[in-house]
Amino acid sequence: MDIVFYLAILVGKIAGFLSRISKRGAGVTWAGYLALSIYPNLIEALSEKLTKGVIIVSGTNGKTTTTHILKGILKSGSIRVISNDTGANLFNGLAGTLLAASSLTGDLKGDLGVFEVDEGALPRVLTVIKPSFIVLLNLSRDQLDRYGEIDLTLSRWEKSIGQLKSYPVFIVNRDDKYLKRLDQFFTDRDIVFYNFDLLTPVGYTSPIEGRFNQLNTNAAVLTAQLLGFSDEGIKKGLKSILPAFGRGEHFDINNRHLTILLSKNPVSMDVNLTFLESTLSNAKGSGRFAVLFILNDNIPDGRDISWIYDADFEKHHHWLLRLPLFVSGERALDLALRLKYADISLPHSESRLSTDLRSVLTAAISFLPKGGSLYILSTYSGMLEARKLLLGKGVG
Amino acid sequence: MEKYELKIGYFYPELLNLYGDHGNILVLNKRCRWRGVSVVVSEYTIGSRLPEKGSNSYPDIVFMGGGPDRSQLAIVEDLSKNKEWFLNYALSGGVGLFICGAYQLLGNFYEDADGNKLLGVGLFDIETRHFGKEKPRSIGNILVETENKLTFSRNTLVGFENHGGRTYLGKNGKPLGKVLKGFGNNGDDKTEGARFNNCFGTYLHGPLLPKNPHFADMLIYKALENKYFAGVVFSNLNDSLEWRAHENQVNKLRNT
Repeated sequence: MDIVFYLAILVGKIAGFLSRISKRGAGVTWAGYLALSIYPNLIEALSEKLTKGVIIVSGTNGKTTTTHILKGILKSGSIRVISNDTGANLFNGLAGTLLAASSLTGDLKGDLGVFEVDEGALPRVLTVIKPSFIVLLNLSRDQLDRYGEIDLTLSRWEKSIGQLKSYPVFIVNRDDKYLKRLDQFFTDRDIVFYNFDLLTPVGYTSPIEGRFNQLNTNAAVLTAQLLGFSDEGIKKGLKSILPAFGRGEHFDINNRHLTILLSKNPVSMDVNLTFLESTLSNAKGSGRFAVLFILNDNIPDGRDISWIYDADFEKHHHWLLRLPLFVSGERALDLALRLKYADISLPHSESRLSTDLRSVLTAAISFLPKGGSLYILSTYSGMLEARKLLLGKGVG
Repeated sequence: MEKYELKIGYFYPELLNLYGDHGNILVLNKRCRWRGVSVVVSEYTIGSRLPEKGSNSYPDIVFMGGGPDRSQLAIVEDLSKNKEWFLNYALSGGVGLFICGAYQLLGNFYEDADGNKLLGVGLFDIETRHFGKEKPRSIGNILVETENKLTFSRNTLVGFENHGGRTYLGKNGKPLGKVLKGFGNNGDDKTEGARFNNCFGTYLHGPLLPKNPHFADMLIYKALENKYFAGVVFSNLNDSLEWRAHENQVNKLRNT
C-alpha cells in the first residue's frame, strides 16, 4: 500500500474525530468524502480485506431493519461484522464506515461486511465492492426528486448487474412486482427467492413487529442460511435483536412509552399506520394513545413531499379520527392539509400543529396520561431530530 | 334549490400518476362537495371512447397528471387519435388542468435528447426539448406570479417542479405566470406553464391544488359558470390552513 493510502486514512480519521467532538451529526460521510478525495480507491482497497466478504442489502424500504436483523444473527454466531449505521448508505458513507472500522495501518476490525446501500447508489457501489451476496428487498417510489422514477433505478440496476464481473448470489423478494422485471438479468446468476410465506412455517418470527418486518426477517434469515448458519443459530440470533435506530425504536420518557416509526414514503407510511391500527385494536381502551407525524423536506427526506398524496390516509380514516393527533416538522402545514383532505381534522392550536418540534413533542408527551403511548411517524431527518430531543444530547 | 354537479374527466390515471398529482382530483372533489356540488369522476385511458360533446358524460373539468417517460410514450399514440376531441374541448371553453408530462404532450411536440420528436395535441402553442446531459434537470420549490384576476385572491402559486424537458412558448403561447423563484418552463425566460382559454398547463407538482386553493376554486367556478351560466352561487370555504401552508412556502422562497 502506498503512502497516499495511509494519508487518506489518517485524514479521514481526524475528520471523523473532529466531527464527533463537535457533535455535528454523523461525521462518517464527511470523513469518507475527504478520504476518498485523497485516495479514490479507498473502498475497494479496504473492502478487499474483509476475509469473509461483503453482503449488500438494497431496496427502497427495510434496508436498515434487514441489515440490523442480519447483523444480530451474525454477531450471535461470533462473526466480526462491519456495517454502516444509519444514514451512511451512500458512496461517501460507505467509505467513512470502512475508515472508521480500520486501524491507522489499514487493518480492519472485522471479517464480514454487511452494508445497506441506497438504491440509487447501488450501481456505483458495485463498481468498487465485490459482494458475495446481494439482497434486493423491494422498489417503490421514494425521494422522487432524487431518482425521478423507478424505471430509471431499474434500468441502472440492470446495466450494473449486467456488468458485474464477480458472481454474487442474489437474494430477491419474489413478491415485489418491480423486482420481477430483473428476472431476465438473473438468467446466468445464482439467485434465491424469498417471500412472506417462505420461512414462516418454519417458525422464524420477526423480532420486530409488523408484516413488513417479517419479510425483512425472511430476507435476513435466508442470507444467514446461505452463509451456513444452523436453525438453532438463527433462532438464537433473532432473540437478541431489538428494533433498529429510528425503526420501531422505543423510548421511555416520564412514564410514557414512545416509539419512532420511520415513515418516509407511501409504503412505509401505510405499513406503519396498519401496524398502529392493529396495535390499537389489540389494546384495551384507546384513551392512552396519541400519534405525532413529522414531515420534513430536507435532502435525506426527499425535497418533494407530494408523496403524502400517494399515501393512503383515507383507508385509515376511521381509526385515525378517534386519536389525538399532533403534527410537526418543517412541512407540518402540508401534512395537516393532507389530513384535512382525508377528512381528518386537527385542532389548529400551536401545541398540536407547529413546525417547532420541541414544543409539539413536549405537548404530546404531557398530553398523555402516565403509561400512555406516543407513536411518532416521521421522515428521516425528523426522526434524527426527535431522537436527539428524546435522548437529550447531541447526535453521536 | 338547484343541485350542482360537475363531471371530472381523469385521463390515464394508472399511467400518469407519478408525483401525487391525483391529489389534485382529491382537492377538486372535496372543494366541490364542501360546497354542496356533487362530483362524478370518470377515468379514461388508452383505448377509451371519449364522450361526445353534448352527451351526459361530457366532462366539465379535464385533468391529466405527470408520469415517467415510459408512460408518456405509451399514451402519445392514444392522444393523437383523440387530438380533435381535446382541441374542440379547449376551443369550446372547457376547463382543463395538465401537469408536467401531460402539459408537454398537449403542446406541439416534445423532442428528446436524441432528436426524436413526439407530436403533441397542439392545444398549447409550446414546444419542449430535452437536452439530455447537456443541461441539468429543473428540480426544486417554485414560486410563480399569475396575472391579476386569473384567480380570486392572491396571484401567487407555490409548488415543486421536477422536469428534464424545457418548454418554449410559440408566438401564440400565453404563459400561466411569471417565475419569481425557480426555473419554470425553461430556466431562461421566466415563464411558467401555459394557458389557452380555460385550459392550463404547468410544471407545478406539490400537488398543485392543495396549497393553491384559489386556483382550484377558479377551475371549479369556471366549470360551474360554463355549465350553469349566470347565477352560480359560490360560497367561500375556510381556507386558513391552506393559506398558512401557501404563505409558509411563499415566505421561504422569497427569503432564499
